[in-house]
Amino acid sequence: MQLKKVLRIRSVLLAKTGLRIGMSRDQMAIGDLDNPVIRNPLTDEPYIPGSSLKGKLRYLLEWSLGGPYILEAKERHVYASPDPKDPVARIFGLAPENDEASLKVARERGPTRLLVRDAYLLEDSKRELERTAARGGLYTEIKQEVFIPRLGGNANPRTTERVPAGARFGVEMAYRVLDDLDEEYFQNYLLRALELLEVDGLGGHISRGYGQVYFLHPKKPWDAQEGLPLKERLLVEEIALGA
Amino acid sequence: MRATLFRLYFEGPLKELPRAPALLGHVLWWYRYTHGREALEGLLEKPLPFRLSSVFPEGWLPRPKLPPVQVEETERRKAIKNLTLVSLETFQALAEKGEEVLLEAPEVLGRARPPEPRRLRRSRVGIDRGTGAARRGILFTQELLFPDPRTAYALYVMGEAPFDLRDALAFVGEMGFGGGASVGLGRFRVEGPRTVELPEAKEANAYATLAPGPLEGALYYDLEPYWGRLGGGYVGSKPFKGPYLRTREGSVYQEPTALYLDTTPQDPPEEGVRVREFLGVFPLGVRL
Repeated sequence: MQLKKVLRIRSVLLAKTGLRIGMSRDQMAIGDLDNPVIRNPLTDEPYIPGSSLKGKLRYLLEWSLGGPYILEAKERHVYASPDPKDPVARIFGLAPENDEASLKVARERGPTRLLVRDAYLLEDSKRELERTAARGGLYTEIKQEVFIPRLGGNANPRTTERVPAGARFGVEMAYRVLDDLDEEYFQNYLLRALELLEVDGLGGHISRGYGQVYFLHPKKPWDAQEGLPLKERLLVEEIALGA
Repeated sequence: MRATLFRLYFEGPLKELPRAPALLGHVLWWYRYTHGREALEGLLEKPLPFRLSSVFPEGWLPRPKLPPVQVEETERRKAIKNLTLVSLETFQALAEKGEEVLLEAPEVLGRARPPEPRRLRRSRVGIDRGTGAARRGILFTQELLFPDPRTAYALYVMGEAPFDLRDALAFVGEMGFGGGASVGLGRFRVEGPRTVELPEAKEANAYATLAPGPLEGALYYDLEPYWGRLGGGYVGSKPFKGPYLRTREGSVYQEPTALYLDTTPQDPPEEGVRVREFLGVFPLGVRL
């Protein structure tokens, strides 16, 4: 098994609607937010963890392939295909069960091909979002929602924090190519998962309008990209291995 | 001691700051990717002509493990006990004069502190493929380090690597060091190399190490059990190496020893594969 090349995929993720990737909190103060977004502890800026992005891409690809990916996912695990050429396991990785057959498949399959970085707010986007501080958020909006009991009574409010529509994050992924099949899977499966993400959404509450995202080419003007095919909105380069 | 310095700037969170054996493993995987398996096996047939240190904030080194000084005052005793990193100046004084110098060291008196990465517990959930909602029983948290991306972390190299080490480190930084690289952990940018002088005692009769070392030859040491995973091309195969004991950075040796430990799992990841861990003392002279 030999690493042939590594592809770097760069794009800008535009939040077309409010984006919410939440975090748990150890303690809560009186008057505090019910549902905060995840923030970088150094800068207090909201960001998109690579695990959220990668997990959602995997989930969408599995749903698009259907069958055993959905029906045979075990209680605590995703579907473990016995086929070393399984596209989901190859691209996104799979921890093998501790039995000889699974280990043999894992050895033949090789390492996870896709690495997804954490995505941070772009500098110009941060400047645009600075005015949110006047309304109580830091690069975020505080959205009040209420639950209405169906038989009358008082509305129960809750506060949700989200990154406002229009925010832009720098997305970067690396894709390891070990053989020709990996090249094929890049075109057929990874790009498909990214397309599905634009159709579906990222983060919480997408059934209520949150989390619609759109990829933009980092080196082309934002306005000119609406409606372009996804491939034209990604910057794919080969990373030099150095020797 | 003259050494080569590379500065690493971390561009996001990571599980643990790089330590010498794991970082060397990453570098050697890069060597295998770019030069092939046979070239790597050839390289490992002889003692390696270079050694890596673990990574520390620039200007700080691990406190050398020396015969302890007795301190009556509780606050100062605790400050000395909890001290893990010392400045280059304090290291020089420690190497020459022993732990007595800690009584008046700025680190102990609260006047100097190394930069510390912030910690954040990041929670993750497993998503039920049927419902699309969080699956019961798969909510877990990971504690991650967030080093300041402007803070330089120093990696020291002793000797001359038989390849371009900067290229290797740049690749490791690009792909991510350590666990969770596939979800964006462990990225760093590299600057260097440049030549630096590291502090050590003039008439040294022992050596403090900047890397985890073997038990053989250790005089004063902190031990740690190590249970490492296989990396590189074996990620996803049976994950664990054989466990072993090693000393921590700062441990003191009579000689700058180095050895390869065989840590091949009982069921090797491929037929004929031997997994080895290089434990080499990165020696800075101290006087006992």
